[in-house]
Amino acid sequence: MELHELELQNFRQFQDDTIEFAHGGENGVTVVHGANGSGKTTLLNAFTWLFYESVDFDTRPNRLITEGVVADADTGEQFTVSVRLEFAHEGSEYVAQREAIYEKRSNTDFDGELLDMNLTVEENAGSGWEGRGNPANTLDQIIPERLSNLFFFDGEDIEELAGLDNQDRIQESIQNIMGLTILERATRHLDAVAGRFEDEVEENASDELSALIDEKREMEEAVDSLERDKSDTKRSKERIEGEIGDIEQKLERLDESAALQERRGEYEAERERLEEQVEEINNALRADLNDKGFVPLAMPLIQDTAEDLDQMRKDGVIPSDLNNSYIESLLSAEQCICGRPLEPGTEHYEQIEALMGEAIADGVEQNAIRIIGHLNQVGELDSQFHESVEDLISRRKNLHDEIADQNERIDEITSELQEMEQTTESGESIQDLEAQRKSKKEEVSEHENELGRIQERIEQTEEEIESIKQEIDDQRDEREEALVAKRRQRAAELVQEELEVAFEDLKGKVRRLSNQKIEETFGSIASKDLSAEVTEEFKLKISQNVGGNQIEVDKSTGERQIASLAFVGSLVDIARDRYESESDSEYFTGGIYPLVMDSPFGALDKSHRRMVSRVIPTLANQVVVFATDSQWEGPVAEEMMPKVGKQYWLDFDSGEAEGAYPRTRIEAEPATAGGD
Amino acid sequence: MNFIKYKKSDLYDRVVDEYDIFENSYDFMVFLAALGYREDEVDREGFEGSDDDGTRGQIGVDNFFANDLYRVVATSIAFQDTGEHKALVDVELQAEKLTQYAAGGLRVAEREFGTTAGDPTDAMVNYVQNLDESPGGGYQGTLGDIVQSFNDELLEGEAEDKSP
Repeated sequence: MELHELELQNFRQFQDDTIEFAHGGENGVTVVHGANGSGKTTLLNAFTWLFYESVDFDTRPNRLITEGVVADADTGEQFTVSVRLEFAHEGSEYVAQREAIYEKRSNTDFDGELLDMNLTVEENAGSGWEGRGNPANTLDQIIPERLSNLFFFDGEDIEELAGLDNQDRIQESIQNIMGLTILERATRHLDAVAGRFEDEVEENASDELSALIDEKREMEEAVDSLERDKSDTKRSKERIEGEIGDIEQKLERLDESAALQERRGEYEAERERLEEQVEEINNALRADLNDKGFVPLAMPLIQDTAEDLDQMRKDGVIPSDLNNSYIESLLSAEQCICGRPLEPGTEHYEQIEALMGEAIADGVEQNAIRIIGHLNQVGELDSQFHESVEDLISRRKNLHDEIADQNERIDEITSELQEMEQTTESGESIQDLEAQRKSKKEEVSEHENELGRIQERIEQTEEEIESIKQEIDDQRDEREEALVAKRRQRAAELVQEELEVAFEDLKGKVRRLSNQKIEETFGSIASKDLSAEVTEEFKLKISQNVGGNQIEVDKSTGERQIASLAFVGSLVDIARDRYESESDSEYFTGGIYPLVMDSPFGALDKSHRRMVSRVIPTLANQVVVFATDSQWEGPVAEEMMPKVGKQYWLDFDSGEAEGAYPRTRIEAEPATAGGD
Repeated sequence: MNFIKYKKSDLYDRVVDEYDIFENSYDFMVFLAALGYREDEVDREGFEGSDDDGTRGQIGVDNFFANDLYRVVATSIAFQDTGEHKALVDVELQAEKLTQYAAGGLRVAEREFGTTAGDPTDAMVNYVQNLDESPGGGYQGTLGDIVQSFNDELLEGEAEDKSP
């Protein structure tokens, strides 16, 4: 998608204004300069109103129409609010326009009443303009609404992407931008299809089969409900953990508790590190059991066998010069090794034949020697197992002792804090905060137990479902219609399972690709020892390298904003790569997207601003940035100016003079007075 | 690949899937077979499990024979159980005997670790670590002597072959 021109009529403070966007070539950046309150966020809302009929205004959220226009009009007069956008997408030109008709109802009515709303989208794919039958759907396919806050975003809340509770948004973004929703939708549809075939089976089934199907469905519903409980509990747990984080921050801000809280944080981090080491040792013990655990158990067996084989050696059975197949070859050739003929029935033939019983079968000797050949290795592995386990267990014991020490230190600090009386500005004492923290910690642990119980019930029920499915498959007495429906249901389920696997694989692939890009982008902006990644749980995590270990750190607003920008940029970049690549990938079509950003530098200090400005123009082919003069001046302007193709200034008149109303004009030249 | 049927229980799922102690079911099966032989517990009837109660598993025979030491265990079990030389070469017999002793070992394992709540890693490690005999030394001495005797004889054979 490439933005060309935005035209606003009577939209909030914009009465009749137009912006042409820079596009194509090296100068794809359009900058709109404006003071706070001059209408930058309104411009962002113009996009979302046009695309999704959705706006988010801090002041007078219900007023869409220009105040002055309604105020100056007579009761009963009608007005049109309109946003019109010209853009190009995948080889077609588009004109999208949303119009709303308002009527002034009384002398004191400054908002107008909405009478009618109309959205049109016209497309020119090269053979002339044609209206699209379902305009809202067309726009949603070009930039899905769920994705809109990635492309039209407010810098002030972009850092939330790196906050809690945003796995869903990140996961959705990854799916959407790669067109993976097609797969998700397909699996949902297949689920419905399998359900319909199951209905058919049930209609034609015996009472017994029908009862089994009912039972299975009840259990599936129970699993769905348990899954919902699980995700509610998880969310609630994360919310409480967030609250604990807030309490700890308050404790860090109070003089009396600051040092203690900081130390407690360090001890807790150390405890976590020690616990991770314990888990590493447990894994090493598991590996020892897997690789060598059978050896000590097998020692008596191997010794018995070795002694028997040794006896065979003493008895001269092995090594043996003769074996049955050699004797057989002599008998069938009817010639003895000494050259005499061997005729069946003769005494000599029988003498040679009798040797077969004494000789050993083919392969026995080789296998016996093979066993002997491994005896030294077996003995060594037996010793290694015991030595390694002894060492691991002793190291684990030391770690447990260290953990106990840390717990004691943490408890001591907790007791000290529980007796402190300094209060926050809002009147909470350290004692109160500690008490709250303690009870919230207990809540977290209850939630963890509850999650464990829910998971256990889910697994149990799933096992029961599997066994009922088996019983359903084993029913043989139903009619032909039921059999056919059952086969179709199974086919739908199989395809669904396959697609789910493909979906998970692709999602993981995009996550990994995204991480590569995030690493490049974040690495070039943030401090050297910080790194950002999307985890397997689709959390945007910022880690710090401490002595070779990656430790998750609390993010400052600036870092969160950079991580979020790096993430959005990575997606736009991957989508663009995919779109431009010639590889014929089935679901992974990608696309070209612009980025429209309101105040992306707001929360950053100067050095970060410079680095973000360097990166932003590389994130997308086309970038539209709204900024105040103070955000723009200095490093941002220096870095971005070479990429800027168009600039506009919002000339805001607050309408304080008599008979005047707030109004903003979009000018191609700087306004006389700028600033924040 | 040839497959063998074997008797399984929830313990297989716990140690392989849930707690990742063993990488594969066949790794646990060899462990169990060694345990079954040591404790003289063998199941010659129900060793293939049953589809009716969900205790039947299936494993590719190649999995055992691709690992040299697993092969030593399977061969030794078949040889000790039958006392026949042919058990040293008969792969089908070895697979069957391994399965019978693994089913016996499973009974022992159920008694020893099956009732442990949570992760059975420690219970299994302790069991193996505290086996009756002193670890390493005794066996290593005996096994080393046997290896030496074989070496001497084979070298002697080679020396004789080379003599004019």
